[in-house]
Amino acid sequence: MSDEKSKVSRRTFMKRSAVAGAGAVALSGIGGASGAAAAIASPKRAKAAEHGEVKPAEEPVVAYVRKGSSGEVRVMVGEREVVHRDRDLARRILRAAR
Amino acid sequence: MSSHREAPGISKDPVADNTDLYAFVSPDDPRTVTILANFIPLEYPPGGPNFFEFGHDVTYAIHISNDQAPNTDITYRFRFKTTVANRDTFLYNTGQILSLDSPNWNRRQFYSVTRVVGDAAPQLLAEDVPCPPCNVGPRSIPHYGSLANAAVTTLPTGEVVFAGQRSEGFYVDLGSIFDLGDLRPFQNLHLIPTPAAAGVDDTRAMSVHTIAIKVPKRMLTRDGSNPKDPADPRSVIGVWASASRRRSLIREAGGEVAEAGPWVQVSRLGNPLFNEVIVPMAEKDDWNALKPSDDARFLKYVRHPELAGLLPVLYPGVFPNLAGLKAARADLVAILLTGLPSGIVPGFQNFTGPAPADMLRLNMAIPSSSDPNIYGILGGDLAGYPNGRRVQDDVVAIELRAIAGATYPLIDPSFTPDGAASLLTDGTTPASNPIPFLSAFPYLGVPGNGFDLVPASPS
Repeated sequence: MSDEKSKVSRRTFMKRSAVAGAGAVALSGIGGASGAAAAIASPKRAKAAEHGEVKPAEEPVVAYVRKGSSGEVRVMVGEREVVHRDRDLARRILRAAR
Repeated sequence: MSSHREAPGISKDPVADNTDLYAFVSPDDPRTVTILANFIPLEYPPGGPNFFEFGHDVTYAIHISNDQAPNTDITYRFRFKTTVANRDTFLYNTGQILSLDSPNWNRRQFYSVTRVVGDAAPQLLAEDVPCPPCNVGPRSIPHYGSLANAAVTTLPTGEVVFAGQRSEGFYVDLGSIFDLGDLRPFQNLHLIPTPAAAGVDDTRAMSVHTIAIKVPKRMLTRDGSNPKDPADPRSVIGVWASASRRRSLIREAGGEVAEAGPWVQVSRLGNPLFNEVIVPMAEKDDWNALKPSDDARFLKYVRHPELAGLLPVLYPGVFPNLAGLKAARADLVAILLTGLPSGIVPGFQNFTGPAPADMLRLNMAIPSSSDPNIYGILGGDLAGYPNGRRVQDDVVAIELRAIAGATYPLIDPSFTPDGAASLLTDGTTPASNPIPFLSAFPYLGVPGNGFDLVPASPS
C-alpha cells in the first residue's frame, strides 16, 4: 500500500465510528466519537468534551483491552500509547464488543 | 542463513527481515566506517511486476554504541515513502529508465534519514532521498550500475547514504547445511555419508535491499576523537540494526490500513547467525523483539551451543576433542557477546565491557587490509570478522570453526582442537557468485537483472 493510499485510509477511517475486534476498539477522532472516545482519554476529559474543549484527534485512535478483568485500556494515537486503568471503561468497551 | 528467515515470526514479514549486517573501515576512505544493513531475503530478480521495495510502514534503524556498554548512543533512522506516477497501468516501468527521475518509472521510493545522539532531539538529516529501481532487465534499465550509483547521496552533515537493491553478498550452501548439517566437502564423513563434493552457493544471483551509510570515524567516537590506537577503548564501537512496525494495525475494506501507536521492534541483527544458530526456535521471536542489552538471558546458549554438541554426532569420530569439551565456551562469549579483551589476540581488542550483548564490534583503529583474508582474525587478518564484518568475510566458516573448538585455545591453551575444526567450510567462497563486490561504496555488487538470472550451481 502506498503512502497515498495510507492517507486515503486515514480519511475514510475517521469517517467511521468504530471497528471492533475481540476486545480491541478502533475509534474515530475524539471529537467525532464525542463522549465514548473522550471517555477513553479520561473521565475528566470526557466532561470537558461535552463542553467542546477537547480538540479532535487528527489520526485514528485505537483502544485495546487485552484482559478486561485488569481494567487496563491501552490507547494508541499517532506514535504514542497511553495506558489507562479504568475498570468501568474496560467493562463498557467489552460490553460494546459483544 | 546469516539472519534470513531466521525466526518463525519474521519469516512471514520479509520486508522487515534484517538479513545481514556489516561494519568495516572503508577500504578506499580510511577516515570513515561503512555500515550496511540488508533486508528482504532471497529476492528473486525476475519477481515482477511488483518488484521488491522497502516498507513505507517500517522504521529501519542502525544503532551504534560507543560507551563501552550495550547502550544505543547514536541511531540513524530510515523511513521510506512510495509514489505511483501512473495509476492506470500495472507496469513497474512503461519504458526505459535512464535516470532516477525518469517519467517511465512508475513506482518509486524516497527516504528520510534521521540521526539521534544520546538523549538529544532527533535531527532530520535529509528528506526525499531517491532509491534506485530494482534491476528489471537490460531493456528496461540498460545502464543499471551508473543509474544506481546516482542514488549515492552525501548528506550535509558529512555522511554518505544509499538505499536500494543490491546483489546478495552472503554466500552459503543452504541446501546442504539444513539437510542434517551436511557440509558437501566433508559429507563422506557424515553420519549418512555420500561422496565429498563442491559446495553450492544457494544465494548466488539473489538480491537484497541494502541500507548503507558511510560515517566519518570522528562522528562515531564518544568524544569526537579520531581512533588511532587499537588498545584505546574509545576506538571500539558496537553496531546493531533493527526494523520496527507500528503497534496496532486495522485492516479495512479495499486493502486499506490504519496504523497507530509506538514503533515496536520486530527484527534485529548484530553478529551473523546468532539468532539463527544459537537461539532455540521457541525464543527466536522474543530475541527479535529485545535489545542487545537484554541478551544476558541468551548467555547460556552461547556458553553451551547446541551445534557444538551436534557436530560430534553428525560426523562420528571427527570431533573427539570437541565431544569432550564440557566447559562453558568463554571464547564464544567473548567473540559474540562482549568482544575480545586485550591480551587474547596480539595487537587486538574489541571489548565493549562485560555486559553480554549481541553486537558487531569494530575496532576502528585497525586499518583495512590490502589483501583481505576471508577467514578474518582466524586467518590472521585483524581487519576482518569478528572485528566488525566485511562483505567478503566467510562468516559461515568462521563461526563453524569457532563453535567446533578452533577458538577455545584463546582462553584455554591446554585444549587441542580437532584437526577438522580449522578446516570446516561449506565449500562456498566469494567466487561462488559471479557478481563481484564493488571496490567503493556501497561495496555490495550491482544486483543481478531479472532477464539474465543465473541459478545456483556448484562452486
